[in-house]
Amino acid sequence: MKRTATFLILLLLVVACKKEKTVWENDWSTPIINDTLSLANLTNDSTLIESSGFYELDMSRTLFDLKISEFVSIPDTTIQEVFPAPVGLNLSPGFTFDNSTTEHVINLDDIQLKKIILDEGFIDIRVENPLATEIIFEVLLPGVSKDGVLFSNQYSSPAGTAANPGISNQTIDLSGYTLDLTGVSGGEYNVLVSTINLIAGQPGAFVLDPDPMKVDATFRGIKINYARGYFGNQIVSDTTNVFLEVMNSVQSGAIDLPNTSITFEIENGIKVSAEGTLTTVTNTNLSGNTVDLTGGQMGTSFNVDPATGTWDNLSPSLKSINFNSANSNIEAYIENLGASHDFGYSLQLNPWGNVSGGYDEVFSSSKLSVRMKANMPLTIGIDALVLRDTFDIQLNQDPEKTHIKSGELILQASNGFPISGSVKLMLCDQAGTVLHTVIGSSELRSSLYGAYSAKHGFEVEDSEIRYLLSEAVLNDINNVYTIIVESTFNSINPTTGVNEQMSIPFGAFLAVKLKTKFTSENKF
Amino acid sequence: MKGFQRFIAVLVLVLSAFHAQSQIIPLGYDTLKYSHEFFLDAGGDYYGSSVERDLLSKFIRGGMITEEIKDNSFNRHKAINRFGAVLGAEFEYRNYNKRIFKKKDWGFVIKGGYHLFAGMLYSKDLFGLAFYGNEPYMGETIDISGTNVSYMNFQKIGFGMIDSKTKSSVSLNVYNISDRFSGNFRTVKLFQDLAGDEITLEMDGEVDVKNNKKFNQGIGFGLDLDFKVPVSWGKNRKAFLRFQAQNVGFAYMYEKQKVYSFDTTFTFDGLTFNQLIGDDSFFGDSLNILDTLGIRTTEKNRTVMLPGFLQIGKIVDEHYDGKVQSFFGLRLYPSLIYSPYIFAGVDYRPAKWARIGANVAYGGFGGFRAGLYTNLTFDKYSVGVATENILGFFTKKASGQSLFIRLRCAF
Repeated sequence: MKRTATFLILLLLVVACKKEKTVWENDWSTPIINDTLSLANLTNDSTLIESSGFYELDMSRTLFDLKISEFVSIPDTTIQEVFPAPVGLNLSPGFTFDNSTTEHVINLDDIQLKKIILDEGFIDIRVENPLATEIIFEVLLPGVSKDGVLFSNQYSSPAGTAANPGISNQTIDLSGYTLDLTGVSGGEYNVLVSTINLIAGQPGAFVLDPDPMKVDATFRGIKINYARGYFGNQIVSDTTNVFLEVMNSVQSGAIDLPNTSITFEIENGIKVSAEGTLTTVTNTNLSGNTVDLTGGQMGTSFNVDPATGTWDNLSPSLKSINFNSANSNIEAYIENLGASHDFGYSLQLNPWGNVSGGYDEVFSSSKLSVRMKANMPLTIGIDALVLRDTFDIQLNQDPEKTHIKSGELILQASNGFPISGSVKLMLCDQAGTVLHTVIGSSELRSSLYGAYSAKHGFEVEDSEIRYLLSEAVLNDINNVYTIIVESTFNSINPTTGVNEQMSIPFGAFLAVKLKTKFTSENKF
Repeated sequence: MKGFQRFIAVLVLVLSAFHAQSQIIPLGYDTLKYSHEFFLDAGGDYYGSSVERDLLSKFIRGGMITEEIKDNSFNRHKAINRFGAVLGAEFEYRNYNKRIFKKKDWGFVIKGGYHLFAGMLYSKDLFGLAFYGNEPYMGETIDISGTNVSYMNFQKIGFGMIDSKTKSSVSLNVYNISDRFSGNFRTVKLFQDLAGDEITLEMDGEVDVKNNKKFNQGIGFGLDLDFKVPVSWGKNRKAFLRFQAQNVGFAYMYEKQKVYSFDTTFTFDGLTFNQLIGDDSFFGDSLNILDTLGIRTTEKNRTVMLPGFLQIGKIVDEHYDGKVQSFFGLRLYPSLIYSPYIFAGVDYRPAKWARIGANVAYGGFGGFRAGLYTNLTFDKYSVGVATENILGFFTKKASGQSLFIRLRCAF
């Protein structure tokens, strides 16, 4: 009896010894993405517009926009004037002992300005007075006026000595002033006339060995609102780059666009003639293939007429240069699907010299701009167009702990685009080697396979695509560092089975719901 | 979702990963005079109203919980279910020679022990969510409202006095609370449409967890009471009723507890692309999933009740001349998770040095159970082993396992 009891006790004591992990599986389902994509998601400007119920592509861009300061500007300039001091005079207050009218020439190279109106500008005047009496400087600018009143002002300079002259600093604000730069004779250019009267401010003693008085005038911060004259034979040239990020995802394939054209429009708001040249228009796609736009007036100079009118009725001249399928390789250019576009230009003002007799004019509202205009129906034929994007990812799950064992991603889509597509996921290791390729169970079907939706006004087709994440894939998930998402698109005509150009209905959308179903293996 | 599942699974694991505490082995009550008496009780009991042992044993011995095992337990679940466990080991030394308070019959008692109480009141859907996932519930509502979870792990030392004649005792204990968790999910409903396009989570409740890994989280004070009262039992016979209270008291958690409170409804039907990869990315640096779910987090000191119990019942009398006698009783824990537990059994004494017995019980964390015990005495030593769930050792259909051990030395 005792033995039996002891055995029973020992038996009960050893029944509970855990030997392995507890494991069970369960199934989970959860939504991940719920969103609707439309073309409005892909563009942040007015590139897409509606035309007769379909999208139209408006690729108009301003390539460059030159304003008044690009053509006419006055650099900061300092002019020094020296006045001999009175010798042996006993100066009494109010006595004008010197006056001087001077023409100051502003160096503007071959620009010959006769009249300018300033938005902003200053003259800094510095006077050194070696006399032992206060001197009053009366500054008159005969060609400088505002609201019909000539500029005139007095400034005083304190008494000083030859060793320590009295210093006076004054600033003249020229904002809003009109400057006549034709000099004393009225037939010059780039000449500013000034008259300075020196007046004794207090009784002064004789000066036996005087030093001269100095006046420095510095023109600075000149911003021109209006200019008239001859603007010279300037040449402006540059290359502008436009990068279309979305095109950088195009991996391969082709699109077929309808007959289209691109127009470069030159608007000249300056009353000056010009001669221009489009030197280069080129694009390069992701594969490095470059296509130059050729034909038409590429590389050929063209004339740009001056603007007409005046302040309130300025009428810019317009010059259009059109590249179409008939005169250029425009379709090949666009269908290269380049992301990087370079536009080179050259503009020469007054190609025939001063034929206006110095009557070139530029106003504050004047600009010389070049715009690219390209409106075309968004009618696209796509043939195996492959878009590829790469995402970094780092997932970590321990197979010895609770982890996802298998599962699938379920993509449910309602497609309003007449474009079909398939998406595959390539899971790559750190070296970029593809470890697994996950292919969808079917393709995203074109809207043309679907039924007409009265709500939307075009056909919509529903698709469900499943991406199986097998145990093999998930076992390698810790080694996945990048996921390449590669999408292949076609514009198949359901009737012919051939890729054709398709118009995109206005308001077309792709509603996407991505859900996941997975089995987790729980281990404790 | 994974965290919640892990929480449920860990809870189940914790509840099932220990062994036994002796509570119901009929005390061989005698009034013999001893000078010293040592007890060492150890053991535990885990069981539930619905989960089968076949599933629970996987958490103890490991192994794959198959669909069949899950189904068997799942099908036994009702709307409201219980599961829990008590685990502990306690020593007690009684000295009848040293008199305290100058009362000649009062000796003293010194005791110490380790205890763990864990219990859970839960819905059938919670079991389903933990073991099947949410996939089988598409188009339905997963309702785990009313789920109540309580867990405490504590140690105690106590000192008290004992009447050497009746062996009734009372002791004052000091407790160290080393771990504590409680959750009260008043309303938790997970709505899912049939297509799985949208999930709505309605939550109202709060969860307390410790906020650091310190061993000392709180201090408690409580009482153990043990009174034996003789009563008339049939003709010319006497029986003893035992009134027992163990670990009845309160504890103050001087380490702040992290309290998660929630009263919110959260609907999720997927992220937009902008939320996924755009400037407003859902996974940006500022992401706080708790804020997103409307869960508030605070830190609080808590005063909590110790998971003690009260028990009253007729015990086995060592001086009874017959071979068979009965015992029965009622046990109460101050917790909704533990329903009143009633038990009754028969004690058989085949030899002077041996007793065996069997009992049936109902309540506690589960339903009906049958128990078995034996107690052997060798001179001044005795050893007892018992189970309150004999089926747990023989069939996978049982709802838990139970094992108690008691060693006694009296001289």
